[in-house]
Amino acid sequence: MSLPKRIIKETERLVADPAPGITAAPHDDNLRYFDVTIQGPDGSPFQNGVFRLELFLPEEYPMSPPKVRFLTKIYHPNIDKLGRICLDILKDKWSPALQIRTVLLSIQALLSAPNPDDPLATDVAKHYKENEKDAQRVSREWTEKYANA
Amino acid sequence: MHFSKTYAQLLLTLPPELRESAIQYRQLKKIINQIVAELTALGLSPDILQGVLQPPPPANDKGKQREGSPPASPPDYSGPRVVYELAHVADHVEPRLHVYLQPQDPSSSSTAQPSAVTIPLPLSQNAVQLALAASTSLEAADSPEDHDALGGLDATNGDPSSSSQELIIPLASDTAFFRTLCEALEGLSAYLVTKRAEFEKSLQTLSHDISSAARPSSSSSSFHAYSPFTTDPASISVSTGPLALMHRSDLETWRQIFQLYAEADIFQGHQERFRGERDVEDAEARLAAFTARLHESLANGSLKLRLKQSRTALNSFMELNTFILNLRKFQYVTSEATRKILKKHAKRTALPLAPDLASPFTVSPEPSQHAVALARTPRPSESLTLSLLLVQALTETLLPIIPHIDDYSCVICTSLAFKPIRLQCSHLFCVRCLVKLQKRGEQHCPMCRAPTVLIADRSNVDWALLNFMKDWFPGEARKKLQQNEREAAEEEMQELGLEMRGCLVM
Repeated sequence: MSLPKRIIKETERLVADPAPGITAAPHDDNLRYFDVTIQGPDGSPFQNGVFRLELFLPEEYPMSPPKVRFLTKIYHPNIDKLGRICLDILKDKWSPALQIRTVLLSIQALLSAPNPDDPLATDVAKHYKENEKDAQRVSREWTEKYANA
Repeated sequence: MHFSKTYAQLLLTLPPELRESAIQYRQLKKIINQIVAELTALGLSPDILQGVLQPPPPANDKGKQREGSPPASPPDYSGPRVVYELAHVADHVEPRLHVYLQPQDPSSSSTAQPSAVTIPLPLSQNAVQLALAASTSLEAADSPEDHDALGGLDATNGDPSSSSQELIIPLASDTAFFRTLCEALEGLSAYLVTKRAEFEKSLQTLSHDISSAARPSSSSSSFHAYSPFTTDPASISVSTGPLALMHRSDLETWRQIFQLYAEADIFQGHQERFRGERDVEDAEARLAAFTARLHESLANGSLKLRLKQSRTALNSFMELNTFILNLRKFQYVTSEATRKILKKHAKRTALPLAPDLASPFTVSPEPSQHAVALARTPRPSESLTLSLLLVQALTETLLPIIPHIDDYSCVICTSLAFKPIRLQCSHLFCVRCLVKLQKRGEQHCPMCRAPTVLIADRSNVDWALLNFMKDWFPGEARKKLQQNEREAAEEEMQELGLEMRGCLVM
């Protein structure tokens, strides 16, 4: 199956003109599978961390959303132990007008604005709700421990 | 290497007409020597000047500057104080030294009225030397004979309560320095105004030439417009038959040239990592790379200019770009020369650094008068440079002549949105992607999430846009239509449970 024009275009732009703090490169043997890194946003507990993710474009993309997962361990109320991300645009709020680039920017924004009211990792969310300062301290520790580039 | 040499070499790379209006760096350097000589003759060699020079008073109204009170100085310092002023006289700048002399013992000193006296050069030499030697020399400068001799001089009464004496010494060579520099910059401004007008005129001509060389197919007889009343949307086909081939237009070629040009991003960066005006070397390398690519494509036939007027227009296009590049270079050397000569002026004479001069390359609503600008405080440099303005004029005039496919593509498949379907929320998609959305039961518009997808039908075909696309993008429209048909057929087979791949052996 040949690669749709849209995926080729998106890939070209991701490589030639990457968004600040984000890299995405397709695998040579599978052009629908991307290695991604996202820098922790300044001012967040994830600052100075570099997080690795994997991104896969299913056959129906862009009618269906890409599948994205954190590979680097992260202490965040909307990201679970397996790296799965709770983000509406990756699920029911997906729109084919969105792109790989916009998805990754949304994930980067999620790092700046955790949403403990819509948790995926319930224990982390509880921690964030009950004692945000201490939870952020743990997030910083994990960032230093696991996301140290 | 001395800057004067570097400067001369840089100027040599520019066309003679630009070179002729350049700043005379060597001449200005000679004048600086004269200033130093003049100051030394006054007894104010750079070493001495450094010791007595005070920071200029905060610039208030330039006319009143002179009458300001003597600048504050450490209380234990009672020697003469000298302030360097750039007075604004008529249409030029007159630099002068304002000397404040304080009698050591005000009560016992002369009965002379405190006053400020302007002393012309031959006399001032004497006066200043004396003043610096001892404050008793006051009488020398203030004697009635001198007053008579100076006749009608600018002798103003200072603040009567103050016991200080003031001398104003105009600096002739320094005046010549600033006059030469300002005149050069003003001449340059005037020259640039005419060049700008010329540029805009050639741009208009060029715009006209490209427009007629890249006519769309509606200018030929093979073009038939569709309308909702006579046409069934399903029956639409786009042909590029023999008639269309006979129609001579370089539309596609110009589209590709502009595409290459936009990709080359020559004068201004548009990327996430770099935005704004590029430096001269970068722009030069990019223009060279663009030119090389263009020539290569023309040589190997991937780009063909059929019409003679297209070839003339391309040459003119390249000339305008070269002109902008030369202007950028010229701007760079001129501002360097201005900066260096002012720095040298300050360093050699020990006079304070003059405020920044407005660049003749800066385009601002108010007419720039360098002498005026110099006498004022430095102004904010937020205005555009001329080269940037010309780049913008170039891209804004020429590139829109040919519609760009990105402005007419479907956000879902990123191909030309053909046939174009306009949803009730006014968002545009190609018919193929819209059908896919409907088959998935997707209600919401991908752009705005309004529930407009499922209610769309034949009446949502945008006929005007369809004709426009067929007119300006005949090749893309045809290709997209074929692809739509192929995809639809594949989908139908899949829905029937047949896979296209593998089983299509007839």
